[in-house]
Amino acid sequence: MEFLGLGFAIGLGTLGEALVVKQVIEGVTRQPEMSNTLRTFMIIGVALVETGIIYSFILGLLVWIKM
Amino acid sequence: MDIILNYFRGIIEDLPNLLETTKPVVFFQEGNFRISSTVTTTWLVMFLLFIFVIFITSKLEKIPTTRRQAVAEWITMFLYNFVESICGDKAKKYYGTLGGIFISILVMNFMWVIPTFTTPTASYSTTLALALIGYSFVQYSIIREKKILRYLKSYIEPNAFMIIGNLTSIVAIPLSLSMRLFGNMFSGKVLDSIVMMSIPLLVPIVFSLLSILAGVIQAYVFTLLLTMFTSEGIE
Repeated sequence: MEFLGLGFAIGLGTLGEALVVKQVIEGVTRQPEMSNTLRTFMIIGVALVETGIIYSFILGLLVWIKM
Repeated sequence: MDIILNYFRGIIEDLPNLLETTKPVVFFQEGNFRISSTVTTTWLVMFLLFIFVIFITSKLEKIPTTRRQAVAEWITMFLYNFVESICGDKAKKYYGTLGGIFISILVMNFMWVIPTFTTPTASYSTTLALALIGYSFVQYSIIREKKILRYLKSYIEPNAFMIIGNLTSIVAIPLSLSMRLFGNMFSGKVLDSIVMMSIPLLVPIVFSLLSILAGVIQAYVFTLLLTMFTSEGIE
């Protein structure tokens, strides 16, 4: 049951990352000259969103070791 | 059909042993003092980088004539431009340390490419040490730039309640920095061994490419965040 919840958390986190990338691609199609700035912000944003996913992964490992 | 199902069932039964196989090899232990393959690989990385830096910076001239000086200048300019695009004019003071952290993490993330070597950054002690050193450097540069009174005053601006959030961030930032690097490298390792156990033909190549990409991006992000905290603090 714990793993099901953590799986949901990881899936939703990935969805959030996908939203970030989608928005950046839309921005670049509208204004190609902004692509360098947007790429930097995209990498920061994706890395920050990924922290949640990584926390779920580490929690999963801890639960697994406890079992 | 039954053969395939039994094959995967066997893999799933083997999974609990996975964490044992991904553990670093311990060479020497006495109490809490331990020398494992993580530490020796880190020493190897330090040694290799030391030799490399001494080699490319020997006999520098004003107008570059050798190839190794061109490489050294290219690396320096790349790091300088990277820090300068965030910090502005003050980049000269900080790009040495930040670039050093970037290069060490980059090389450490790639040690798994050589067989029998463990990635040092897939162990939490290494990433915690890196995050603590990096964040101490950020605090030190902020104090040097602002002087101690203005630094302390920045904790209670714009009002006194902000001190709760600011004090929390002192603990939370190194924790999240180290957790992010460790989680990414460790999950790559675990994923790699799971794929290796289940489908050992050709498929692991794809996951290795993903791991290489993750290694570059995580080294970049680690340095980027440290640079951003520095530039936020010193302005």
